[in-house]
Amino acid sequence: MKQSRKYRMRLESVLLSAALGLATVVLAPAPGAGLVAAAHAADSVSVVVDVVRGAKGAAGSDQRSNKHRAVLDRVPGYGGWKFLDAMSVKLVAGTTGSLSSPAVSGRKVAVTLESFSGSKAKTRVVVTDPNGKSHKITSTLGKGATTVLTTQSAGGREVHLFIVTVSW
Amino acid sequence: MGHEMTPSEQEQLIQRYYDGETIGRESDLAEEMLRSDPRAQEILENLVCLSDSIKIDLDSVVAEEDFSGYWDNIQRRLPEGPLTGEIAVAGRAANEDVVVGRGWRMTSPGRPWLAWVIGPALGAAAAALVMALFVMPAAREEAVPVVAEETRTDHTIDIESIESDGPLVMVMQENSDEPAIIWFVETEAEQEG
Repeated sequence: MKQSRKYRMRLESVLLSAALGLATVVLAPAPGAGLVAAAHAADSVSVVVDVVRGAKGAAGSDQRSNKHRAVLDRVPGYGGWKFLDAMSVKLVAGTTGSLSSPAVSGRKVAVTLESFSGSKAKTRVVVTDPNGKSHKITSTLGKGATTVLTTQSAGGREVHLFIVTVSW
Repeated sequence: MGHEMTPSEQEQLIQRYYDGETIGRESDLAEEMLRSDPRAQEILENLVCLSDSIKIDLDSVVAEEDFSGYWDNIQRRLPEGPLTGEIAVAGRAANEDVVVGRGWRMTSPGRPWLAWVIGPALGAAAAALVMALFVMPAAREEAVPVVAEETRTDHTIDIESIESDGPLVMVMQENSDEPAIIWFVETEAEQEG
C-alpha cells in the first residue's frame, strides 16, 4: 500500500509538471507573432540605402558588396567595388530623413516619403554631390523594391551607387 | 570380442549391462555370459543387492527424520505482512545465511526530482505535437505568399520626375525583376567656372 501510494504521488507530480510545461509552451506567444502584429499596425516605411563605390577599369568586389552582385554586374566598365556604408531611416508619409556618412565622402542623401498607400510608397530621393549639386528622383515603388541611383564623377574615374530599398 | 575377457573387463561389462549402457553385440555378449557363466551371474546379483541396500538406507534416513516443524520453522523466519521489495531487503538483513538478492535492485530509485524533469519534457513534447498538428500548418499557409514575394520582388518603378544639375540622366531597366539604375553625372566645380 505504501509503495503504491508513493508511485501514485509520483505519477501525480509528473502529470502536474507535464500540464505546467504544456501550458507554458502553448500560452507563450509564437515566435515573431508580436513583430508581425506591430508591422501590420504600423504605417511607416523603412528605407535602407547601401552605398557602394566602384573605380573605372578595376575588378573585383569586397564581401559586403557581393550581395548586390546582380546590380554591380549591370554597371559596365567599373569594378573594384567597395561597400562604404549602409544607412537606414523609417518614415511616415510627409516626413523626410537625411542620411549622411563620413564613409560616403561628402555626398548626402535625403529621402522623403511623399505618400504611402499600404501597397505602394512614393518617395523623393535627393543625392547631393560634393559640389553641392543635387540629383533628384520622385518615384513609386512596391514593397521590397529597389532602385539604384548612380552618380558618376565628371572625370568618370569612379561611381557611387546609392542602392535604395523600401519595405514595410 | 575375439579374446578371453579378464575378470575386470567382465565385471565392467556386467555393470554397464545392469546400468542399461550396453547396446547391440555388447548386450548379446552380456546376456550370453549371464546365461553360461556363474561368475557373471554372481556379479549381477551383487549389483542388485548393492542397489537395494542403498534404497533401504535412504528410506530409513527419511523415515527417521522429523519434518513436522519444517514449515513452521520457515514461517517463523519470514517477516510479517505482504511481500514487497522493502520487506525482502529486511528479510535479507535478518537472515544473513539466506540470500534474498541485492537490496538496491528491489527498491525503487530515490530520484524524486526526476518527475519534475520528465514532466515538463512531456509537456513540451505534447505542446510541440499540438503546434505541429494545428498551429504550424496555419503558419505555413500564411508564410507561403511571403516567401513567394521575397523570391520574386517586383522592382517596377513608376517615375514621376527626375531632376539633375548634371549634364546627363539615364534610366536603365530591362524588366521588373531587376532594380532600375538611374545614372547621374556629377559636375565638378572647376568645370563650371
